[in-house]
Amino acid sequence: MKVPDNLIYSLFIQQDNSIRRKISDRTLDISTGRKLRNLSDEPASTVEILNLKKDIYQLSQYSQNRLFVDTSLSFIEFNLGQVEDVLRVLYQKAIQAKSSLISKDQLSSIAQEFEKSLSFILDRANEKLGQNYIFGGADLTKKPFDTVTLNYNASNTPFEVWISENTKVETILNGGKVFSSNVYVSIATFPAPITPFLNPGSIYVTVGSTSISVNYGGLGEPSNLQELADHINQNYSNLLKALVSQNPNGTYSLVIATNRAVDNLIVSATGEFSSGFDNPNILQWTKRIKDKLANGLHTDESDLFVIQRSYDLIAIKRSDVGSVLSNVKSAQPTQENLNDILRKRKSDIEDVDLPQSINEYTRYRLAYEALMRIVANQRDVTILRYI
Amino acid sequence: MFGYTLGVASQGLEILRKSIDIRSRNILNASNLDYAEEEAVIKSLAPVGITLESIQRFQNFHYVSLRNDKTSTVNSLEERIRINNIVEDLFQEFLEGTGGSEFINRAFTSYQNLMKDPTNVGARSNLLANAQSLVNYLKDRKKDMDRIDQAIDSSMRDHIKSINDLTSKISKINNNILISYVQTYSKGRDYKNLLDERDKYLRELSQYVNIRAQEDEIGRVRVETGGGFVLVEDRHNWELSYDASNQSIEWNSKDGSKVNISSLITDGKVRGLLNAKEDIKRYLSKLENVAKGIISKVSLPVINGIAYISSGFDSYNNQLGLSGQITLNGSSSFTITINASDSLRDIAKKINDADVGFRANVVVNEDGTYSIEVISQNTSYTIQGAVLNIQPTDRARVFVGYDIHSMSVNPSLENVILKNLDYPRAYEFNDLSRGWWEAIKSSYTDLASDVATVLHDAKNKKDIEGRLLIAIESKLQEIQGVSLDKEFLEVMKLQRSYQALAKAIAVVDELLQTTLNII
Repeated sequence: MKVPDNLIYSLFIQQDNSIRRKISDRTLDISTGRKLRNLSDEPASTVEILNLKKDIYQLSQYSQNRLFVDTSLSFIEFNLGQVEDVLRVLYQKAIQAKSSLISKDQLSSIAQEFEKSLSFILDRANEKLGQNYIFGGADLTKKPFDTVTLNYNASNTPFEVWISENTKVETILNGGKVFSSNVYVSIATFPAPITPFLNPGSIYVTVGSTSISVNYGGLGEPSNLQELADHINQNYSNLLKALVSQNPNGTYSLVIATNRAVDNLIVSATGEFSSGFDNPNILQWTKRIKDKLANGLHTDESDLFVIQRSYDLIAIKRSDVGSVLSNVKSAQPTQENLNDILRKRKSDIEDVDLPQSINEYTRYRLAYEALMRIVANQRDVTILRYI
Repeated sequence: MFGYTLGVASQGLEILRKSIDIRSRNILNASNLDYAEEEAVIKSLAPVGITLESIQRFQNFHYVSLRNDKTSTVNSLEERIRINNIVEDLFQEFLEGTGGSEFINRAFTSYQNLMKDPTNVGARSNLLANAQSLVNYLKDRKKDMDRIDQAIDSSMRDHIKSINDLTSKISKINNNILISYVQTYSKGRDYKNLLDERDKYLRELSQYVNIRAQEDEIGRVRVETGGGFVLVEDRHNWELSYDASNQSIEWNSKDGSKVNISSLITDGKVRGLLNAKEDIKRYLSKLENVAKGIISKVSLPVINGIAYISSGFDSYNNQLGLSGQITLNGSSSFTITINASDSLRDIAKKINDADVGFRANVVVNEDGTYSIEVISQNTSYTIQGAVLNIQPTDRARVFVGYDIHSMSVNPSLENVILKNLDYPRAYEFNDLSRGWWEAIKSSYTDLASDVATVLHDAKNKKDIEGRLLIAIESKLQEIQGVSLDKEFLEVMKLQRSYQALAKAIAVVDELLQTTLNII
């Protein structure tokens, strides 16, 4: 068989190109640390890398959300703790003010303390984190509580943030709900607890999912505030607590609350109480007591009950926030682990196996040197030496 | 008698010298890939001497055609790879921070960061910056691919010119073959160097386009491309031309008519470019899908009275055929008259030209229709007019436009939309954005995957076809290539024969002298 010279040199050139290309690839592998440098290197891996990059970004975004929620809820919890502390002090002051031994001047002094505390609670309720009122709900930038009326003016829905694919967390709370109370006070007032009712009627109460009606003013029914309160306490003690409360102007009203702090309450009425019931929030209850003290009136059982209930409600809310916060914090290691897994997977796909690449680089270098030696030897294999 | 001997010896010397010339030609062309080894075919005319019957050329035209076919295939793939390599370089997904997916991911991350904390001024600025970066990225890639498309047209024209030059040369060689054949008919028909040149041109031609060549008995070729369209016959050649507007290769008939033969060109650089052009068109379409997806999906919740949207229409620049009036109650009241000849773009321009506190943009919708989105600078401003059914909407687009070229960040984003966000719906839009992000990512992955797969497949095919080409070329070299060792041995043999014959002349001469001396 004829072996043309062209054929031999063509083969050398082909092999030379092939080996040099492999050496070049391995050099790039080692110098860049990447085995994938172009889309076409491995199309399937390219798609997976694009998916992983998105997943990593999304996870990072969830982590940022989680940090934001963590910061916000921690701040909310701190503020509720402050309110809780203040209410605890106010309870002691209210007990003190209940004593008939306390003079008007002393009552006035306690009233001032109540006013400062109320101002402190109001500041906490209107607290901001960045541009957001932490108790403003989804309105975010609307001041939650009016400084004069103490009414809640912001959103009734909380602002929620996603911290994972399936979990969203209430981050900016609805202050109206946080500082709400389940204690109602009748709008109708009476000169004394035993002032007889003139118009008989009924009080309709819903506690959670249970509805009851209490008749009064009729034959064999409670005929004044005190009897009505006693009647409710005797017959519905498992659900309700009723108290006769002196108003800041010296008149008396009926206070109705749920027996348990966690239950919701709705109250309406006919007859003597047809003007309805107010449902003051915690700030408004505090102001009511402050006004009483400022007017030289001693606190009564209802005031102590209201402060205790306020304290309980804030404690429950704080506990709820703490519980959510705990869950949010516990998501951190999970997210960090997932992040590590995603990054490792990405690295496994696109990063080079260095020992293997160095090994291959050495192998191709040897092959190249062998080829060059053969080329050099081939040069001497010629008939020209013998002519 | 001695005179006869001298005549035979003289003829032998001439033929041997010719044979040595041929061997020398072989040695000289040993490294020429298109050269086919030649050999003098000497016929014995005993008892009267020898004659040079012909010059034998060691070649198998079947293998040449096979090699040319494979050359066409490999060149087609190489050309497609060359263009796609440039496209691939545009999408650097493995360099941190430079890939399109990074721009998309950053834009959506900043969107979700804003929806997490919509009052955060920094988050707003971040969204603006990343949205603008995304727009710039998409527009840059579009420009880059348009440039590649133009470069393909330029390369195509060069290739077509080369094809026409080569077919012209082959037709001339056909003519020269005939002339040389006649001229050298009685002298061994030594015109085979023309056949080498012919083969070289055929090989070069097959790099550009797939051809079929038929050789006649004296070596002239008839060359045709797919579908039997003749490029060379006898001393005539037919030219090709490129119609860039229709992206078609045309065969020019002698009567001046043109036939589109694009689909009949299956290989060669021209096919490679045609394929690359189709690739670019497809990539651009997918890039367009990414842009339209972003424009149509990404929006922000705004309070009532800020955003308005019209009904969807099939076109943004065709006449709508609607007429009526739109009253803009803004900083002042202004009535716009809509004519039947107005397009959506015309109406948007009229609203903007009114300059009474409204900003209108044409936007593409998810269903592929186009609408006008109007952003009001003040919630107390209103729009009246049923002509386009412009209605208030609770969301405003982050991006506007009807394609990549017109795509931009909503001009009202910074000063109106971000200042009138509807915070309570932020979490809802955060939720929606996860679906948009996934859809846009899929759309972009489709593009990147297409580039990756096309190039990967082409490289693989080129590796396989390249190896086959090498195998065929090796076989061809075995048939027609020159072995220097063999040539030198043949030269040595001829040298010996020549020396012996020269010696015979000297002996005859001596005998003749002896005879003469007898006289």
